[in-house]
Amino acid sequence: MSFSVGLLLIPYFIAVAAFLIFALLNVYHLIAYGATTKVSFLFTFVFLAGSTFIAYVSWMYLKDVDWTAQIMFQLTQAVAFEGF
Amino acid sequence: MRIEELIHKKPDEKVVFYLRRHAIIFVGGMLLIAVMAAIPLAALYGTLTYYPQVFGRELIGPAIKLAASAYYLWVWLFFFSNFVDYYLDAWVVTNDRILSVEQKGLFNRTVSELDMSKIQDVTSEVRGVLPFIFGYGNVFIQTAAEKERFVFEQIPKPEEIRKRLLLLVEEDRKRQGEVLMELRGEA
Repeated sequence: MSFSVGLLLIPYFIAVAAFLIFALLNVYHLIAYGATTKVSFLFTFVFLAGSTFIAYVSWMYLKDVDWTAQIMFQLTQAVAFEGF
Repeated sequence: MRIEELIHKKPDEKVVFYLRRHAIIFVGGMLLIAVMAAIPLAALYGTLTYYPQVFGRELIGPAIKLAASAYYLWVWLFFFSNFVDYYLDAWVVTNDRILSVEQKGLFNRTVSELDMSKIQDVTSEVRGVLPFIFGYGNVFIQTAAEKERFVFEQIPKPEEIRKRLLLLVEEDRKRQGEVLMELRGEA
């Protein structure tokens, strides 16, 4: 049996989507509850800059991965019963 | 817009002071985040030292990189959420009332108001080593109603705040007394 390495991207994109939703919720809270001050702008900017940096570093490390590569694996049980 | 602008002020009402938890509470959260960020780095160092071949493997290498990327994005989000949680907890004290705005997590928010005339007793408390060193504590405001006490949590200089609150209560009573006298005079 085999599967593509690209399958790993599914849980990753789910985690990134959840990250984006919660990040937007946080920004929404700051705006909706009247905390649009210089301090909150500074922290929002630092957060966005940091997120961009993490995304960039991730891209640098992941760009050379061959996501179409197939990973072969065998079920242990199938190997154990091969002689029958 | 600032938090104190959320309240609809009466014509003669003015904001006297504005409180948040002591900054050290936010810094403490930041330390936890720094530890969370350092743990995978320590694991990476150990893996590169003892099992460097792991990262070359077809499946494990990309899996570790993706997991690290998602982990750091979430740690960074935790940092921002910690700031939002800290920043949206505030107490606005006007010459007429106290407004408490508390954010608990992303989905829970409590806004409560207390009229100065209802305050019966104000108690300040500094309990523990860290509060003593950094000068923060709680201020409990007791009202005539049998409700739980109104609390300013982990605020800087609690004793000074207690004194200022008592002065404001006194001023409010004087002002209300004057208004009553005026009304009686008119009658």
